[in-house]
Formats: sequence, C-alpha cells, structure tokens
Amino acid sequence: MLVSTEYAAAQPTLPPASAAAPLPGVPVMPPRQRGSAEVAYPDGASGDGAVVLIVLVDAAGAVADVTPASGEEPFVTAAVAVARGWTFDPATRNGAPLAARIRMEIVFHAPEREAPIVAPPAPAGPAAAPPTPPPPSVDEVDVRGQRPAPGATSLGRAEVRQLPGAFGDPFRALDALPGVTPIVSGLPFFYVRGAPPGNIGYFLDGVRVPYLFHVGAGPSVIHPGMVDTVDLYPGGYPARFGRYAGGIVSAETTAPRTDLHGEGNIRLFDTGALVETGFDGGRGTALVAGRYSYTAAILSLIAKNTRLDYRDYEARATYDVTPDDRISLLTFGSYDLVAQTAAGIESVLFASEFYRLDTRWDHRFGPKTKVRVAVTGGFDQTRIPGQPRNSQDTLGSVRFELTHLAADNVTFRAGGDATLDRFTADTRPYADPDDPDTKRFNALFPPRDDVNFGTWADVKLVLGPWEIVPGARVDIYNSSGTTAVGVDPRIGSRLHVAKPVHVIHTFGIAHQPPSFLIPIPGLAIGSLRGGLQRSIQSSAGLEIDLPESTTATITAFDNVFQNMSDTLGVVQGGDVLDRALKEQRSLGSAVGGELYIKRKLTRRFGGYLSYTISRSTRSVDREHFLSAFDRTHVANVAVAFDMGRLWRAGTRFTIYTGTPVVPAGGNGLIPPPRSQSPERDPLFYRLDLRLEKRWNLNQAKTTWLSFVAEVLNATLHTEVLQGQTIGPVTIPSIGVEGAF
Amino acid sequence: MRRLSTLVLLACGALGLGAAGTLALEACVPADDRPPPGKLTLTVSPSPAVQNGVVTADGWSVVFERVLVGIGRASLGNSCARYSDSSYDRLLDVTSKSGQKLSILYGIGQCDLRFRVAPPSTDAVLGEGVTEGDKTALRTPGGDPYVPLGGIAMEVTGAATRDGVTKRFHLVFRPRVRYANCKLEADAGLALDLRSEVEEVFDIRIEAEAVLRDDVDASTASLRFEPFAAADKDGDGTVTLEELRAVPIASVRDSGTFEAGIYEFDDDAGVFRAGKAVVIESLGDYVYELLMPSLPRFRGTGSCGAGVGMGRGGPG
Repeated sequence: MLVSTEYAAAQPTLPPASAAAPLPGVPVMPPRQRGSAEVAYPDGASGDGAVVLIVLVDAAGAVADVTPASGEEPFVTAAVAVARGWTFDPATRNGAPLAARIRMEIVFHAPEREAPIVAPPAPAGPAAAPPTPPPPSVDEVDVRGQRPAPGATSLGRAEVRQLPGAFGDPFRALDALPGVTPIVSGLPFFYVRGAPPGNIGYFLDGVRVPYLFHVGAGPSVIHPGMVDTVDLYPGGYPARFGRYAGGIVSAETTAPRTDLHGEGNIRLFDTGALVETGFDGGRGTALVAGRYSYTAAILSLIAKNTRLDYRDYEARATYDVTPDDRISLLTFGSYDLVAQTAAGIESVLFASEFYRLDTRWDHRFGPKTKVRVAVTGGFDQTRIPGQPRNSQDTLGSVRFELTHLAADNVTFRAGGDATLDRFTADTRPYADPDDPDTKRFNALFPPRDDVNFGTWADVKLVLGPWEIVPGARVDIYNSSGTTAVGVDPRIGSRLHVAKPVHVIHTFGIAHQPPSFLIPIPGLAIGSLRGGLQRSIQSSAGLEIDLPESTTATITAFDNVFQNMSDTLGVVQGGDVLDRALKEQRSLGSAVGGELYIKRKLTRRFGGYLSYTISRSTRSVDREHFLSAFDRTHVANVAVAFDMGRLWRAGTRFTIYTGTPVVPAGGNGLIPPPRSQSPERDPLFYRLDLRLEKRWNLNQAKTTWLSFVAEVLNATLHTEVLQGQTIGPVTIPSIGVEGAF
Repeated sequence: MRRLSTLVLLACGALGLGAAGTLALEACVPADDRPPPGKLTLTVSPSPAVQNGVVTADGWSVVFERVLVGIGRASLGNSCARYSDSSYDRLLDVTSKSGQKLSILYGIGQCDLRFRVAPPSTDAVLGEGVTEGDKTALRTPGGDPYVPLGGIAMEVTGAATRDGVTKRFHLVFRPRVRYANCKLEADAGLALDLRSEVEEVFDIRIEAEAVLRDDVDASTASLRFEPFAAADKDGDGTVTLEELRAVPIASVRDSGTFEAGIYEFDDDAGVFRAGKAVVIESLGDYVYELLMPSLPRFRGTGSCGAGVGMGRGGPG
C-alpha cells in the first residue's frame, strides 16, 4: 500500500513553501513538488525498499528525465514510472525559472508494517490509507548551468558533517581538498598551491574574516549551522576577490528561513546553538547563534594555573521592505584567550578578538539586474605574544556589487569597495629599549591609517559549449602615505567538449600588501614596506562526470609568486616569529597536479580521493631552494557509509611527504647553502574516524538527535617537522547534536 | 515617490544602526591592568683577574687581552609573573669595561633567572669594542672535537709571562650553555624576589681565569698556567685547544709538578650530558668540558646550573 517519500538525512536548509519570493542574494530555490508524492507499493514486492532517483525538472516544472541512482526491483520500476508524471514548481534563481536536477529518495514500507511512530493513526480496515507524505525529498540540487566558477571547489555543510576529522566545520574540511598542503597535522593553516597561509583570504558573505579558528587550532569561529557552502579558489579566482595573492576561501551563509528552526550541540569542550525564525508574515527573518567553550573549567582541573577561553557569536536579520528590496544585518565575532597565573597574577599569553557588522541593501531592478550596497564595520584586537600590550584595527568599508543579465548568454558583473583600517597599539610600557624585536615590531606595525580602493568587473559569456569569464580589478593601496597600485586581470574558462567532459582553464594576476606569518586580528604590516606581493596563477584541467554520481577533476597548475613575504617558506632555523619580523622577500614558484574524485559523502556510500603532487620553490638573492613546506605528495581518502538503522560511519586516511630538512644553521651560524635535493622528514599519515547514531523525532525527519563520536588521528601518530617530533596531535570529540 | 523615500529612510536607518552597533561593540581582550612590575637590569662585568690580570699559583703573570662572549636571552623563571621577554643577545668584549648592559626584565614574584652563552645571533647587539667583523667571525660555521658544527660562543685571548718567557693563549669554545637555577650560595633560595615598582641590578661576572683552574670547585681551585705553557709543543709561543688536547689529563695529575688532588673530578659519579658520559682524557677535555661552563658567575660569587649543548647548529 504505500508509501512515502522521505527526506534524506541532511536537508535542513530548504526554504518552506511559504517562503517569500526569492530576492537578490538568495541562493537557488529548489523545485517544489505539486500534488502527491505517493508511490504505491509494487505488486510482487516484499519487505521494505528504498530507491534514489535523479529527477531532471525543466524550467516549466515538468519532469524531463528520471534516472534511478540506487534501489532494487521492483521498487525502482515503480518509482520511475510514477516519478515521470510528477509536476513541480521549477527551481529559480533570482526569481527566474531554470532547469534543475534533484535527488529524491523514496522509501517503501511493506503493507503489514505499522506506520511510522509519529504518523497519524491509520484508519481501521484492510486497506489503510497511507500516512500523509512529507514534503518532497530533495537532498541535492544540481542546477544546470550553475556550476561553481571555473577552478573552484565547493563544500556543502551537509556533506562536511560526514567528513571524519572535520568535526562538522566546513572550514576544517578545507585541508582535505586538492592543492592544499598542511603545515602540521591538526593545525588548520595550510599552503594552497604554494601560497602561504598569510596569502589566503577568508570571506563570509563577502566580509573579510581575519582568521577561521579559535586559538589557532580549535573549532571555527563561525557557527557551522550558518554556513551553507565554502568555496576554495586556489588560483585564477573571479575578479570580485582581491588583495590576496594566494587563494580565497569564501563562505556563504544559509538562505534566510521564515520557519522556526534551530540546531545545537554539546561536545566535550564546548556547546553551541543556532535559532532562526521569521516575523511580520514572513517578510523578515532573525537568526542568532553562538558557541561557548568551557575548556576553562576543564583545564582548571588539569592545569590550575592556565586559562583557555573562546567564544563566538553570530546574528542575522533580514527584512523585505518591498518585493524588490531587502535589508540585511549580519554580525559575528570571536574571542580567544590563553592566560597563565604566576605569583598570584594572571598574565595573558595570547588573546585576540574580532567583530563584524555588515549592513546590506539588496535591490532588484526588474528580472535582469540586481545591486547590493553594503557597509561593514569592525574591530580587531590582539594581545601581542611576549609583549604586554594590545594592537587594534578599527575598520570600516563600503562595497557595491552589480549583476546584470545583458542577454541570455551574457552576464555582466561589476563592483567596487573602499576600506579604511585604523591601526593603533598600546605603548609597550615594560620593554627593553635595546631589544631588536621590539624595534622591528614597531617598525613593521606602526599606528596608522590604511586606505584601499578597489574596483572590478567581469563578463560571463556562454558561447555554445564554451563558458568564458574575462575580468579585471584595480586596487589602490595607501598606508602611511605610501601608495601602490595593483592591476589584476583574470580569466576563467569552461569548455564542454563531450557529454561528460569539461575542459577548465584559469589565469589570473593577484596583488597583495605585505603579509605576516599568519593572519592575526589587528596586526598588518604597515607602510607597504617592501612593496606589493604579486602572484601569476594559471591552471588547466578536466572535469569528468563519471557513473554512479561520481565526478573527477584533474588539474595541472603553475603559479609564480613575486616579491612574496613567505616567512615560513624561507625559514632556515631559529625562531620563526623572530624570522617573521625580518621581512625576507622571495621569488616563489609552485607547479603540480591535482586529482579529485568524489561521490558525495551524504550518499548511502560516499567518499572521495584527493591527491596533489607538487614542487614549491623559493629564491632569495642567488639561492634557489625548496620551500620549507614543500610536500611532494599529499593524499586524502575518505569514505562514509550508511550502516542502516540510522547508524553512519566514516573514516579518512591522510598521508603526505615530509618537509625538506633545512641544513643546520640557526641564529648561531651563517647558514650554509641549501641542498637542491635535501633529505626530508619522514612521511606522515593519520586515520580519522567518525561514528554517528541518529534518532529522528518526527516523521519528516526534520527534528532529530545525534550522538557523534569523532577522532582526528586515531592511530596516535607523531609527526616530524625539521627533525623535531610533534605530537601525537590527536583530537577526540564526543557529543550530542540536534535540530528541529 | 513615497515608496522610494520610505525605502531610503529604512536603508539609512539600517546602515546607521550598523555603524552605531559597530562602534558600540565592547572589546573583551583585557588591557594590561596588572600591578606595576619590578625591574631587573642585568649587567656583565669582568672579574678582577680579567680586568687587572692575575698571577697564578705557579708564578705566571696572566693578562686577558680579549674575552668575547655571546650572552643573552635572559628570562625570568615561570614562578614569576613575567611582564615582558627580552629575547635578544649581545656580543660583548668583557675586558672593555664593567657593568655592560645585558638586558632589562620586568616581572613580579620569586623565581629563577635564566640566560645563555651561545654563538651570537644575527641580531646580537654589539658591546663596546666589538665589531661586525667579530660577529661574522663568531657566526661562521666551524667545528671542533666537541661541537661538530657550530659558531663560537666564547673566545678567550691573552698572554702569560714568567721569567722572561711569554706564552700566548687563544681558546675558542663553541658549546651552547643555558644557565638556570642561579644562587648566591649553595643553600640559597630562588635567585630573584622582584617586587612591584622596585628596581634591581644584578651583575653576571665573567671569570675567564676559570680556564686556568686546577679544580672544578672554584672555592678550592688554584690557577695554574704551567700545564698550558708545557702544552705548546710546536713552540710557536701560542697555546691552543688542540695542544691542550694532546696533553693526557693523567700526565698532568701524575707529573709530580702539582699537589695531589688537582685536576681531579668525581670519576665515580661522572658527568653526563644528554644521557652520555663525558669522558675526560686530556687537559683540553678538562678545560672545554668542565671549566668553560663555569666562567659566568651570578652576582659575582654565586653560580648557576649549566646545561651544556654540544650538538650541531646554533643556539636553540
């Protein structure tokens, strides 16, 4: 008898049917099914069954194609036959209908079985009416013609939840992507195609974020529930991204939802929650989220003199002033502190914080044009390690973005922004005036105002099978009276050469002011000392759609970095922080190849293989050598599988080559020339594990609880870096998550 | 028109709210509101023997012409509230004058004092009479039987005269020595008791004459140059470490020239570094391994525990 379609496990972000019309800035709205989604229990079948269908819904809402992705007969035939007759409200982007491919799971229950616990009681009689089907099941939306920008890799939150070792944080999954070379296992700072951590820009909804993780290695500073997707642009990125010469990590928040929903978690070290609801008849939405660590209490039991504290908050409000106008407020912030008590006095060893408030106005001029105007304010502050004083950055910016659909195959985009950063620092009252580090620090980070102006434009042209996006941006930098100009041409191309094959090319030039070791709130090198860094990035590759919903990407890249301030890459013994203050510039190069094969981890059986082979070199003066963090091979393999009864398990294996051994030198020696074929530290590998048990608390499976146990480096492997053994860095996590 | 003005009003209101909200954000990172710290100024001085010369027990008049020392990275022990680090070093010619500045430390509490003697860093601040050429020379990689590859931490140059005979000596030491647990007397407490807003000046005395001691215990040792003079086998008038290494320690002990007990150390207890026994077979071993680390004295007469690094490379 029947029968119901069910929501797949991870689908918390679908807007309800009552949601307001899509507005500029709102991601793609998936198709919504009209009428019943019922499928009769097939004759001759026995037991329960489940079928996953890939349904292509055309722009008119009709089903253009149905492909079974999994399932057994006779359930598949029954499901396909019925699905061909379904009708939908088509998917939309900015209100314009478009074709979309959706994945739907249909679960068949044998007639003799009882209805789900939370279903309405079945009427008496031999042919009980089916339970009211939940809304149509859509757990993936692949909108045709809306692939990510050429060369970008995108991660969705639902998928990242299943990645062992990521602890549910989309940002923590970045180190599993091709082109990404870790510095040390467990430390979420990495090289991207040879570019150091200081050259990677982080953005949330276009707002610059100084860093991503609490206390350097903790959970991300943005509540994962707010993050819809994270895109990694390893090079040749779109013209709208500027002022970073290495790579871009751009996260988009989830689309506003008008229904009351939320999620929360309690873990070994922290707890977090997110709640969102609509108001004023759906015209407005409000979201608050936050996380608090009680590590301080735990640590006090172990190390009574040490205090570790972190917390973050996020809030968002949107209001549709008119059908074409939306005002949005987005604010988020993060706070970290490590302190130690001695002689009855607590001394802060390290502390940092940042806050952002972004106010936006999105307006649509008809169906083809939209604009966004935004004002962002912020405050960053860091307690400088080893110095009892704080350094601050009070910042403000305005930005403007325009998207105009000039023709069906021509989209014009342009924008501009202006930023002001006012850097201040407490005086250092207790300092040895002869200390070279103090002098150097003061020279690098003077109190000042930095003003930047930027403007950019690109055009997305679709010429038959060829999509090409030429663009450029111009940035004017001013710091302490010194001015520099960066002109950055960019181009990306995707050519459909055969049914499953696309050829991808990217090229771009990117400029960046001098950067510090890693991004630190309130600390940026001033006066444009040493001039702008410049990178010339190019890549070519293939995207191949394989059977079983699997995709493969093969990419070759060649990056050149001129005048780069990569302290880590040229370090040759001694104190890294000390070296960081010395501004040694270098000429860098990175060439390599990447392989990425993926089947979404949200599938019943999903996984990926990510492999990068590369060679990253630096030249300083006349010396040419391998980057200190050159790792020839980096590979990640992850699998996640549904074990039934709502148990899900996953494992991830990571392995990479050791770094080149730097010859003995250090502060005490004039360094000898480096070898062109140096010995390397031993390779490192680790195994991450994840196990989840879920309990669905309603029929639609939108209210659920999960027990999640996860461990990074379950095998307790140590890592050797420059001859020093590190770790084992093993991070366990046990907790309970839930959503409604 | 009315719709437009309403929209503009709302937009301006939201933007204004945003700006005001940003300004209203209250920072959480605390300012440094600790009580004012105590101030410790560390200086380096030559011993009277280095400054004025000394006559040894065996009648040699010894003068120290140059004593170059890479010294610094001073810090307070963990039991003090440390207000600032002083993570730099200096290259000093100890003979040039007394009371040369080493560094300034701020903190509160009772704690240990730490510093190190090591090859100078690239940033080493030069003392009076020391040149960039000296720094380059001490930072140039080299090696000896004790430190396979390293810069020079200490260089002692001088001359000794007796009965019209003059012998020069030029000794180069490469080990990195970390000093901690400094005390004025053996049973004294922690080195420092820094109180708020109180200034202290502690001097580290460099006793270069320690290389001439005939015992590791400074309180019972005598200074002797005769074994050095006798070690000048090539007759060039300059005694080097290589020549001292050619002198078996047993021959010095048993030569009958000296009283029993000199150049002794506790063979049974032994000296261990990094888990390995230090073997003293020659006069050079004795000077390099046992006497050199005892050159710095805490506040004139005190001493510090010495952690000697003989490995490759510069200071850690």
